[in-house]
Amino acid sequence: MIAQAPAPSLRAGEDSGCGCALARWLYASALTLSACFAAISVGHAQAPFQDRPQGYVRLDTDLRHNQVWLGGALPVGPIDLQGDLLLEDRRLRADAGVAFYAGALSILPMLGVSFDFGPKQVDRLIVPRLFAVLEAGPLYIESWLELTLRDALRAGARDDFYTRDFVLFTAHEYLAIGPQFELRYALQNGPGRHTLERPFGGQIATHWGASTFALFLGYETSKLARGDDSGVVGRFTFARRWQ
Amino acid sequence: MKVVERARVRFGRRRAITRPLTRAGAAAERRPATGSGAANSCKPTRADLPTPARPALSALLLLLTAACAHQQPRDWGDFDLLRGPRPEPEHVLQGVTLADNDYRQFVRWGEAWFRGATLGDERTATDVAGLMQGEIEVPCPAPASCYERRSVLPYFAHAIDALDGVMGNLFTGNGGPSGRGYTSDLVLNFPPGTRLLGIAVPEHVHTGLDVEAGSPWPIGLPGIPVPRDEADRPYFVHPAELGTGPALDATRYRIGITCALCHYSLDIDWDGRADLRSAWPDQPTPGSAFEPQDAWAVGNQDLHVGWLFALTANPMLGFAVLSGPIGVHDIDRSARWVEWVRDNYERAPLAVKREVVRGMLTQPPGFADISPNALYDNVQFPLLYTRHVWPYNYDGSLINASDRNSSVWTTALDFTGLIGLAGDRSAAGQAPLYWETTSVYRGLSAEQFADLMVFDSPAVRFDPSQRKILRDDILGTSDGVPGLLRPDCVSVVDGAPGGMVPPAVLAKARLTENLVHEPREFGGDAAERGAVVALVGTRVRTSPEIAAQIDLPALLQRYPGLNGPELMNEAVSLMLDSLDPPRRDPRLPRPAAEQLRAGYVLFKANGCETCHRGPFLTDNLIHRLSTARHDETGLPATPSTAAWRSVGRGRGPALGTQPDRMLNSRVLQLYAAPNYDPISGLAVSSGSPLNGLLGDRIAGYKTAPLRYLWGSAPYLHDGGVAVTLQPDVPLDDNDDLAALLRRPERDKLYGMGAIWSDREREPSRHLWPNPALSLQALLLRDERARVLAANRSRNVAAPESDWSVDAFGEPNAEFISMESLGVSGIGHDFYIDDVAGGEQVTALVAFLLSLDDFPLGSRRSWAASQPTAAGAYADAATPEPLPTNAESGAEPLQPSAAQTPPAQTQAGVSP
Repeated sequence: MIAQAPAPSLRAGEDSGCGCALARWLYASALTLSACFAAISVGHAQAPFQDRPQGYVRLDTDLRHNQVWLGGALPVGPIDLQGDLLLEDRRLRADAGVAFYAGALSILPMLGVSFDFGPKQVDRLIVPRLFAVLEAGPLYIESWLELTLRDALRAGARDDFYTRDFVLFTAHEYLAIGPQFELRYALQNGPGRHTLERPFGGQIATHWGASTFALFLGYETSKLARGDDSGVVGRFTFARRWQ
Repeated sequence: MKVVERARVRFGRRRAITRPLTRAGAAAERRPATGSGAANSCKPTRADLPTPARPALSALLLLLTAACAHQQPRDWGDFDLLRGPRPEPEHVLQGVTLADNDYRQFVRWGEAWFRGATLGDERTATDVAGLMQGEIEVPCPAPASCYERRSVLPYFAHAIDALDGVMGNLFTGNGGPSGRGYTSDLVLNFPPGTRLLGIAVPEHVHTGLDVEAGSPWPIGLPGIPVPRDEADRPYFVHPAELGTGPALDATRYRIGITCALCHYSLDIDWDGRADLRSAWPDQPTPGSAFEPQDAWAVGNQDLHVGWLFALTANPMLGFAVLSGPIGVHDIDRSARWVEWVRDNYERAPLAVKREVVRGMLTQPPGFADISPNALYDNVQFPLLYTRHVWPYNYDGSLINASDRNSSVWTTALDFTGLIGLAGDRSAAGQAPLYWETTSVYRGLSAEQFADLMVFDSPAVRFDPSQRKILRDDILGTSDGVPGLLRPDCVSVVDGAPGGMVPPAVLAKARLTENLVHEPREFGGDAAERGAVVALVGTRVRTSPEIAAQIDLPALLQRYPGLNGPELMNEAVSLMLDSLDPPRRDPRLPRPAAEQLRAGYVLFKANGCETCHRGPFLTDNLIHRLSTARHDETGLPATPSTAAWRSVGRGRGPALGTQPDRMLNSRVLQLYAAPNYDPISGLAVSSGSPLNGLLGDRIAGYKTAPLRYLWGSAPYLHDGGVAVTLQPDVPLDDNDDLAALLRRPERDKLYGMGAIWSDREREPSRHLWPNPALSLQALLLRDERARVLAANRSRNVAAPESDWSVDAFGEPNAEFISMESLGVSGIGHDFYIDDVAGGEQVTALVAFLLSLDDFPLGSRRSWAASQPTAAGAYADAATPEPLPTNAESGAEPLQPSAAQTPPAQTQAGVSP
C-alpha cells in the first residue's frame, strides 16, 4: 500500500511518452537544483565554527511493511553530505546525496541503489530521489519525489514514480496537523491505468526532545490499490536525530 | 522661497521617481539590482528543458531564484589588516561626484548639522519635556522636614559657568575657546539631602555631558533662540535670570537635542578626563594626542541619559522608551506597566512620575535603551564610523544611511514622533502575523499617548489650553505631520506600514503642497526600501534655514543631480563616512611586530576573518541570533520527521544572543526590512512578510566592524562584556600585556554592574572596563563565564523610593542585575583554546587593539586628507562663533599623567 505494492507486469514499452517526459523533467530539475545550489556553495562564507556531524534513525511502519533508516550527515561548508541505509523487508537500500539549505527551504537530492537479499542481486536504482522541506511561517511543507528504475536491471520490471507530499500546520509547540497526499505511478511496465496508489488523508505530528512521532491516516482513492479492502491506510513514523 | 519651490518641482516631477536622489540610489541605477554572480548562475537554459514541464519548471525556478538570492559578502582579496591602508571615502553625494573642495565643504556642513540641526525638536525638549527644568526638593535650613522646590536649570547653568573657574561669564564667553571652560563630564552639584519625587539625588550628579571651551551649552544640547515674535513663556531659558552673569542681549532660548549629544565626546581615551577642549576642527587642542575630529562619532560613553531625562519637568515624555518595570525583562509585564501608566497618569501623577523616573535612573551611563517598548534593552552609544559598514543599527534593519539618520531625528530626538506606535495606529501593524508578540502600546490609543506625553508638560502647566493644541499637533490632526518636528523640515511618507499615519492625518497632510511622498519618489532603491524610508511615517528634509545657509539654488545649479530636500540627511552620512577612529595614543608602547603577526595569524586561523573581513572588518551581513525557530520567528518548531535536515544550516553559526532581544526588532527585520546586496548596500527586493516566512530575512545582528576596539570597551552590542582590575589592586608598571592578562581572578572585577557601581561610589576613580581584559573575556570561555555570572548577579543598587512596593504591588527590589537591564554579555560564543595571559590570547588581543593603526603600514589620518587648518572652512556654513570672554589666560594643555592612560585602561604592551 503506502510502501511498494506488487503490481501486475505489463509489456515493456507500453508506456512511453508521458512517463519519459516526466522522468526527463525530474532529472532536469534535479540537475538544475544541484547546479544552482552548488553555485551558492562556492561563494558562501565559511562559517567560523562548523556544525557537527549528525546521525539519525527513522522507523516507518504500516500494515505491510517496516522501513528502518539509519542516516548521517557530514557538514561541509554550507551543505551536508548525506547518506542513509534503509532496511525494508529483505531489501537493503543505500542512498547518498547532498543537502542544500536556502532560507526556509531544505533540499536533499539523492541517488540510491537497492539490493534484494532473496535473489541476491541489485534490483532497483533510485535515480533520483528528492526530498524538499519548506518551513513557511506556521506551515511546514514536505515533499518526496522518487523515481525507481527496475527495468534497466531486470527487463520487464516496472519503473515507477512516487511522491509523498504533506502540509502541516504548526498549531502548538507539540502539535502539527495537516493533509497528506501520496501517489505511486507506473512509468513503464505498469498496469493499464498507471496509477498504483493514491492515498489521501491527514497527518498529525508531535515531538519530544529530538524525537518526532507522526501518524498518517488516509483513504486509498485508487480502486486498483484498494481492491477489496476498506481503503483505510496509515503509517506511523518515528524519527530521532543526534548531533 | 526659491529653494522651496525648487524642491517642490523636484519631488513633483514624475521623472524624479527614477532619478537617484541618494548616493545609494545612484549606485542602484548604475548596477543592476541583482544578487551576486552566484545568484545569476541559477538562470535556467530554457531550450534544454522539456516543453510540457516549462510552466511547472518556471515556478520551481522562481522559487530557486528567490532561494539563491542570498547575497555574498565582498571579497577583499588579500587585504592586510596590519598594513592597510583602508580605502578612502568616495567623494560622491547622491550619486554626484563632488569636487574635492566641495566634498570637504559638505563634510563640514554635515558635521555642523550633525551637531546643530534640531529641526524643531526644541519644542519637544523644552515645551513638552522641560529639559533641565525638573523640580527638585532641596532641604530648607529649618525645620528638618521642610523642602523647597527649585528648578534644576540654575544648577545646570552654574555647573557650566563654573567650568572655567570664573563665575558669572556663562553667556559672555565662559573662558573663551582657548580657555579652561570645558569638560567631558558635566557635574551638577546639588545641596545635601536633595530629592526628586522622593528619590534621593546625589550631591554630585555626573551627567556625562560634554562642554566645549567657551560654550554656554553642552554638545548636543544647543540653545535655540526663541523667535522674537513668540510670546514669552516662563520655561524659556532667560540667560539674564540664571544668576550666571549678564546676557549679551534679550534673546530667550529653548534647549534642543542633536545627534552630537550621544555620539560626540571630548574624552577620547576614556580615562575620565577631556582630551580635547573643543571638537571644532579649527580649534585643535595644543598638546593633545588627538585631533578635534576624533571627538566626532566616537560615542559618548559616559552620558547618563537616565539623569538627563529624570531631571526634566515632564519625564512622562519618555516613559516607554527609557523606563519600564524595574528588575524584570518580560514584555507582557511591560505591556501591563504601560497600561498602569495609562490608567494612573491623571489620577496619581506623582506616583506614576516617580516610577517612571526610577526606571530612567536604572539606565547605566554610556548606555541607552533606545527601544520604545518599556523593556530594558540597553545598548552602548554606538560608534558611527559608518564607511562601508551597512546595514546600520546593531540589528541591521536599516540598510540606507539616510533612512538611519532620518529615523533617529524623527524618533530618538523627538519622542513625540513615536505616536505612530500607538494602539490605534501601528500597534497592530507591529504584529502583522498572529504569533508575533503584540506591542506594549496595544492598550494605548494615539490620543491617550499624546495626552500622556503633554499632560504635565511645562507648556500645559503654564497654559492649559496648550494641552489640546500640543496633542493635536503630535497626532498630526492639526498640521498633517505627526510629531512635533517642524513641518517644513519633514515629509510625510505615504506607505508607512500598519496605519502609522492614519488616513485622516494623511488627508490633512495632502492639503499642504509637496508634503506627502511615496517611498519610490526618493529614487534609486527607495521603492524596495519601502516602509523603512520613513519608520514612523515621517522623514526629515533639508530645513529652509539650512537651504538658505548653503545657498541651495546655486548649489543645485552647479550640481543638477543633487536633490535639495535630501541634502541635509545625505551630508550627515557623507561626514560620518569620512571618519576613521582615532588611533591609539602614540605615546603608548607599541606591540612587537612579531606578536602582531602572530595575532593576525590566529585571527584568520580561528575564523574571525570570515565575518570580520576586509578593511572595515565586517562582511556587511546579518547573522542570526538563534537557530531555535521560536527564538527567531516567534513560532514553535514544527515536529519534522525529515531527520536529515539540519535546522539553521546555510547561514553560518548563530550568535546565540539573548533571544528576547529580538522582540524589539524582529518584525522590522523579518517582515519590513528589504533584502539587500551586501557589496553595494542596496536593497534588491522589497521587504514583506513572505521574506521572513521563507527565511530570506533572518533576525539577528549585523557583523560589528571591529573599529576603535582600544577605546570602546565594554564589548558586544549590549556592552555586556566588561572586565577591569579591582580598584584597590595596584598596577605594576612593569606589567606588559601578557602579565596584565595573566592577573589572577581575585585581581579582576567582572561585569559592567560592578564597574558602574564602583563609579557611582567613587566617581573620581573613574573605573572603566579595561580593553585588553575585556577582549580576553570575549575570547576565553572561562573568562566569559565569569562575566556572565556577574551580569546575572544583583549587584546594581536600584533607585531608591519612598514606596515599599512597585506598580504591581510587589516589594521594590533593592538590587537588580545588569541582565535585567538587557546587559547580559550573552552571545558571540566563539572562543579560542587558551588560558588567561597565554601566548595565543595575548597575541590576539594585541592584534585587536592595534586594528585602527595599521602598525606595519601607514595610515592616513583624517587630518592628512583635509586641507590645512581653519582656512579650509572659511566659507563653510558654521554657526556663529560664540562671543569670547576676555582671554582667560588659560595655558595650553600639556601632556600629563592624566592624559597618559595607565595600563589599567590602556593595555600596555611590551615592545
